[in-house]
Order: sequence, then C-alpha cells, then structure tokens
Amino acid sequence: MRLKQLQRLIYAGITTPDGSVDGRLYRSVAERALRGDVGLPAARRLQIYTEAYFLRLLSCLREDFPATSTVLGDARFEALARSYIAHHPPTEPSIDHAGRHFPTFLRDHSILLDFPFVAELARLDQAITEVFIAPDSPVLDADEMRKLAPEAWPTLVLRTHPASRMLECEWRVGDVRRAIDNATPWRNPHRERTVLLVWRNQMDVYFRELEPAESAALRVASEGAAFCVICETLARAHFGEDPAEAINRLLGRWLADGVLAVCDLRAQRAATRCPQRR
Amino acid sequence: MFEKAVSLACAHLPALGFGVGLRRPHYSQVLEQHPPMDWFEVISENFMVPGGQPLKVLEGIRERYPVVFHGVSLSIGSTDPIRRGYLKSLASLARRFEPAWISDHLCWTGVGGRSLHDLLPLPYTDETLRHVVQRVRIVQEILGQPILLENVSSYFEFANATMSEWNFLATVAEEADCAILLDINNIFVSAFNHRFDPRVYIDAIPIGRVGQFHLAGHSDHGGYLLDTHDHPIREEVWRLYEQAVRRFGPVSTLIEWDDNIPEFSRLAAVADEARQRARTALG
Repeated sequence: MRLKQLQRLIYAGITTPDGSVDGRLYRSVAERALRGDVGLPAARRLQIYTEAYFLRLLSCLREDFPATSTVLGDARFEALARSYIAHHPPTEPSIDHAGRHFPTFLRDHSILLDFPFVAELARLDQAITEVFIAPDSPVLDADEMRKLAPEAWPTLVLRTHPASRMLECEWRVGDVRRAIDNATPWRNPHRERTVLLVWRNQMDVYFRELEPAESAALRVASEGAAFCVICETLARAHFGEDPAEAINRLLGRWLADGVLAVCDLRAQRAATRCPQRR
Repeated sequence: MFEKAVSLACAHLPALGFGVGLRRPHYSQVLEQHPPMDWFEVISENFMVPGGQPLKVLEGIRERYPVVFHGVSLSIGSTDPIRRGYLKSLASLARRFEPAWISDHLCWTGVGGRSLHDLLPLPYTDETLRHVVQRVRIVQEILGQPILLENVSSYFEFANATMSEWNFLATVAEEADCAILLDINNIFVSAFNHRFDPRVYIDAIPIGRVGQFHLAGHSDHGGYLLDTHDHPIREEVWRLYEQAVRRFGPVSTLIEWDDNIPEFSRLAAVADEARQRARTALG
C-alpha cells in the first residue's frame, strides 16, 4: 500500500467514532496496515490514538469555551464536542482553530431547546479568545487627542481597535460569563437584546454591555468614521442626556479603555468631509 | 558510515546548556523574576498569532534568554502539499525573535486537508524516505536554515516497514542534511511499546547530527507506556540519557513538562540534575 493510502486509512481509523463502538473498523485498519502482538494487539494500538485525538480536542474546546462548558456540564459538553468534531474535523495546523465553528454549530443544534442562550455564550467565549490574540496596534489616548487643534476634531477619523469585537445578543450572556469568571453561581440569563463590547486593554481582555447610543456610535466607528459623524450618531440615538455631555463621557471612557486605534491623522483629515459642512 | 560524516546541519548550532520548555503557568515568574536558566524552548504555534500577550511574553523572554522554536504542526511526512503559509508565518516569527534553531517532529499530523493534532509515526520504507528527504530540503530552503527533526514516541508500527526507525532517522538526517533532536524519553517509550533495546537506537544515531536532547516523564499503562510529559523522569530514562551524553558529548538538553506542571523551581532543579548527570557521564 502506498504512503498516501496508508495515511488516509489510518486517519479514517483514528477519527471515525464508530470505531470505538464495536472495534470493527479498528480491526480492519489494523489488520491491513499495522503490526501488533499478544501484549498489545494492533487494533488496541490504533485505539490509543483515537482516544488521544478526542481527548486533546475536547480539552482544547473546554479551554476555549469555559463558560459554555460550565453551563452545559461535563457529560453534555463532551457529547456535543464529539458531535462537533465529527462534523467539523480540524483542518488548520494550530489546534487553536479547532473550535472556530463551534458557536455556529450550537446555533443550529437542538441543545438550544434546553439552553436557548448557549450559542451566544459560546460566541462570547470565542470573542474573548480572539481579542486576546488579535493584532497589536497603537491605541488613541487622551494626550494625543489634546494635541490636536480644535478645528481638526470634526474631521478626525476614529476607528475601533482591531483587538475589539461587538456582539449583538438576544440574551444577557455577559452576566453568565461574568458569574463563571468570578466563580459565583450562574443563572439562566434574561432574554434582553444587548450589544456586548469585548476589548483588550494592555494585555487583559474585558467585556461590557453597551448603552444603545454608544453601540450605535461604536458601530459607526468600527468602519472608521469622522468624529463629527460619530457625534451626530450619538446625538440622534441618545435621549435624556445632553448630547455634548454624553459625547464627553463616552469619549473619555473609550480613550481610557483603549477601545480606539490611532489613525493616520494627516491622510484621513485630507480625505474626510464632515457632513454638516457640505 | 555515519560516524565520520561531518554534519553541516549541526555546525552552526550553539551549545546552549540545560533549559526547560516555557509553559504558561511560568510566564509571569520568568518575566518578573528572571530566574537563572540557560535557555527556553517555546512551542512555535503558540506564538504564531496576530498579536496580544503571547508575543509580548516572547519579547520579554527573548530579551534575557536564548530561545529555540519547537513546532508540532510541520507534518513533514504527510502526503499533503507542504503548507507554505504555515512556513512563511514560522519564518516571519523566526526573523523577529531569532531563535537559536527551529525543530519539529519526524512524523505526520494529518492528511486530506485534515489535522489529527497528534504526532503519528511513519511507515519506514524507501518510498517514505524519498518523500521525507525531499520535503525536508524544501522546508530548509524556505526557512533559510537547517532544521532539527525529533524522533516521536509511538504506539503502532506499520506492517510494511522495511527499516528500523533509527536507521530511517539517521538516513533522513544524512540525505537531507538536517540535524536531529534526540528525545531520550521517546526512545524509551517506543522501545517498551515495540519491544526493542533502546541502547541499540542510541548507538545507531550518527554522532555529528544530534543538536539537542529532550528529557521528559511518561505514564505507565501496564501493557504500554504513554508519552504524557506529566511525571518525573524515570531512572531508566536518566541512564539512557547518560549513555547518550557519553556517545554524543555535551549536547544542549531540554526538560519537557506539559501536564501537572510543577513549580518553576522544581523544573529548574530537574535541569540542574541533567547538568550534574551529564558532567558525571562525561567524567
């Protein structure tokens, strides 16, 4: 048998979950390709790799989805993980990518009948991991803003930092992850439309629920937008607070949190027009 | 014939002394307290990320210690095309952090575009030999430097093998002009699992090709040994290490511990024990 055929045969033997049920696949693959002995028959030798394959991936998924695995419990999470691995076998060199389809997989799974929020919780778990290793980029800080002449502010382009994500949720899954992170009892979350911001400040990852006006403004900023456009978005969406105060308060918070990235000010100023001035 | 071979692959490798594998539980201690350690080995894939803490950690470590890259995803024996994107990313990381060398495993990790995330043994045949030698040459060309290939621990052997693992490893190193990372624990584990004498393995490896040793613990499952890196190094493995030091000389040695990871001080003590045993073995 050629090398390619052998590798495909062994791959099938290791990854086919049925192989561990009645052993037929193991025996078939082993008899065709492997050496064994009385002390350790060939089929058992192959099975060592099958066990390691699932345990390694299960451990990786548990690590990447800590809140999801806690909510589902060991047995349920393991069953889901096995089913997920069978549907989405790893393809990338790094095992860190093994769980990338897991939130989508859960979104279409009957587990939602019992845990309707769990796909969103998995997406939050995933976003936290993504942001942890997202690209580095200088953050825009208050000192840099202060250096700008007042007339430059309206056309200044702001952009959310690449190490940030905004998640639109139907459930308050942030409450669940927060409880689990704090090692306190978690409860089923309320059904409430929220937008979560996940971001990195220095090397630590944080998340919080956004106010509606803030989420509208940051959504605009995620594409890169002139400061005047962001202010206008905030003013339109904000009720019950003086728009100027809201802008001051939120901008101060974004700068303190490192949510905004440094932009090429000269290039952007040249390219940007403030809508009110057209 | 290998005894007299002059290895170009090993000629550029510095003697780093006695190091440990850098693992997450020890990051902050190493970065903040700078404990004495000759060198660290890092898992390449853990740092092949866009940004964030991993790269910051590696920057901090690299400022004070020599580092080598040890990969687990090269899949040098796979019949899939070589993943050039992976190699470019590895080469870019190497340009930034300048590791003393880059190593991976003599194995395959997947096929058909799928990954097993495991280090599987190869069928030791002429066909596999030609295949691996050609790929090692390509990888070394892309990386711009010789690599070290490590012998894996294994639980099965292929029925169609026509040569021993030690002959296969030695021939690959010779024909592709790469170096060898000799994992002493893996030799011991595989020797138990496949019923061969581990001393024969050591004696068959060409002296000029070995650039690094690995030492680790394993777990005993009765009928077989499992390479778990979660136990202290067994005395039998230490003795094999001493034999290897007598044969290959003062080769850079690294302690691997990946599960049930002990305090850093305990890990450092194991590296010191390796230093003592090597000194004694060399007389």
